[in-house]
Amino acid sequence: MAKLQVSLKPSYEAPSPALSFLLAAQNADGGWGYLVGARSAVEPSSWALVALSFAPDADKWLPMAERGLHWLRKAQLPDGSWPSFLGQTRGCWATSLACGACSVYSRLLPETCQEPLAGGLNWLCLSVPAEALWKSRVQFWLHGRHHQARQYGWSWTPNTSSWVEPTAYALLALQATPAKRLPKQATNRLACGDAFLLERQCPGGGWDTGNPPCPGTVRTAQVEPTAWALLALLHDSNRDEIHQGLQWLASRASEPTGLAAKAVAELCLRAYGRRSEQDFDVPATFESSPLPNVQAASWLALAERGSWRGFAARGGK
Amino acid sequence: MAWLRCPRWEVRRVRNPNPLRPSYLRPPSWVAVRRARSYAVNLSSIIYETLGEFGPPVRDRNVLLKPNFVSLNEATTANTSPAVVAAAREAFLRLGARRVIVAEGSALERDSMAIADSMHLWDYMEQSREVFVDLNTDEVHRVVLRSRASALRELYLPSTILGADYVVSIPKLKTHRWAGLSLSLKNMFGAVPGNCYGWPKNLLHWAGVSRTILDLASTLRPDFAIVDGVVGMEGDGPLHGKPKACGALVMGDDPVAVDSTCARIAGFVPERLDYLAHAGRLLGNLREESIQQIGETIDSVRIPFLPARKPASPASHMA
Repeated sequence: MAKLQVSLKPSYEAPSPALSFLLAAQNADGGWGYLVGARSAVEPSSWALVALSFAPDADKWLPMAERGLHWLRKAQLPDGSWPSFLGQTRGCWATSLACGACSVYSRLLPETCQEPLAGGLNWLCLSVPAEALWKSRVQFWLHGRHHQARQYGWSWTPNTSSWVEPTAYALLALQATPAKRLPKQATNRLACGDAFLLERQCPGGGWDTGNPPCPGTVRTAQVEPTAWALLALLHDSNRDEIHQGLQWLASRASEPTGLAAKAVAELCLRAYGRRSEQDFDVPATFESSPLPNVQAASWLALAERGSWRGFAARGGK
Repeated sequence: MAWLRCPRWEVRRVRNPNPLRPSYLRPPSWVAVRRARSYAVNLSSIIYETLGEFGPPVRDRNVLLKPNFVSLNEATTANTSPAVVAAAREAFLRLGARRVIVAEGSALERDSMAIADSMHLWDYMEQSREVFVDLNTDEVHRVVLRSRASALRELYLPSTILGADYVVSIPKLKTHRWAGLSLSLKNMFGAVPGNCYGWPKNLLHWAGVSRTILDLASTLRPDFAIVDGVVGMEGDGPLHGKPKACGALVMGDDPVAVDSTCARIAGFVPERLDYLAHAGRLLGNLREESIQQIGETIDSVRIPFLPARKPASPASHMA
């Protein structure tokens, strides 16, 4: 099987290898799986849809996107949330990603997107992590950690704690939606989420998965949470914390990490108009690699178009 | 017996579940402690010879090796050594297994394959990356848990592990701040898929670490355990502890007996580790007199491990 060469140079004549990969990886039901041919899942489907929306000649791929959006609609639960896979009965962090995908198509395909988007955003704004509930607040207060109850974001699954990545995803989904379409709780949740991300930054600039700062505890920053936190804080790019985070991320190019992490790091640095100190050495082997290829391809496709600012700038219009 | 209340038809997806037997109905278990002073010794022969004494039914069957890969840091001792994983794979293939795959779903890093890459796992194996499955992005099935120690009742679990004929847990012998020790039962946390529950799998912490270890172990009970104690980890586990040379591989087909033997080797009292004490009632043998030792004696390899610091407060599960 021939290996695809991935280049980060934009190509306007033909779909880039990352985009070609995405086009070929769509399942018959309209969704995308984590791997080529795998059962469709909400996370890779949402990222593939976002990447298609920013592809060159996006209109050409609109029928494919429409099939993907129909699959996403089918997977949505009656309460407005999305589970990880079609047929599961509880919503989770994947709701933010599906909302992001619906949001970027809400003007092109309003009939398909607006209703699911409204339901999803409403669920996101109403869904609070466990530490924001009164029982946990009392527990925090009793153990002298009351500041933690004030700053919260979003959890991976309902009734658990806030973590960096699901918080960043939710903030991105809310930021990508025009203000007039946001539920009334959104302003408060956006501010609270931003504060949560800034509070969970590790000493040295990066972010880990989101452990609370505890004296004597070692916290090791990781590439993916750092990149997502920085993307969610793009609107506040003049802060010192952001500069430190970018510096940390740019210096990570030589560290061992996976293809998906490299792709999202590249996407983040390009969104800020930065480059890594060395190239992230995005590998050229998509087809033979059993990595979560669809997300990596989506992020590469977004990175090569330099289109993240376009995604983030949709809000407020 | 409330633990056994789930309807039989609902658990049909669970791979060949071992019967849950109260301790008084259980025959003694055998645990092998083998000396391995470094990873450079012929680990494959040690494991192969030990497996010969247990006679695992793996001929023409699909075997799944579940190591403990948690950190991308090349210098860490938190991960199961790739030398042990490769040696176990070779030993099961020599025993006639049809296919031996390595599967892991790291709790903190999104990409388990990247951890395997960073540890140079492929340098130890003739086979390449096709033998590795990332359980975090695998397809999932809903499974009703076989016990009710936690309030979870059911979980989505990866189809690869549910479809394997024989599951081998290959953890690192290391301390853990919530569980006390992380061994072959705790290692099954890595079977919970991140694509459903996130990174980390915080749902398990909220439902109680000890309780969910029991629920997972009763549902996905490993058929065999090989604990990498050649170099263990003490202190601030499960990630930031210090290497502790122990020079032993501990193996057996009763994971509770293997874990309790490891606890004794590391200077812990297994009855005082919450999950292990409960596991000793229904999942396997815990008491020293119910375990027949093969190979080295516990005393000959015993080396006290510095325990991990306990979480600061009961609210620490929120982390």
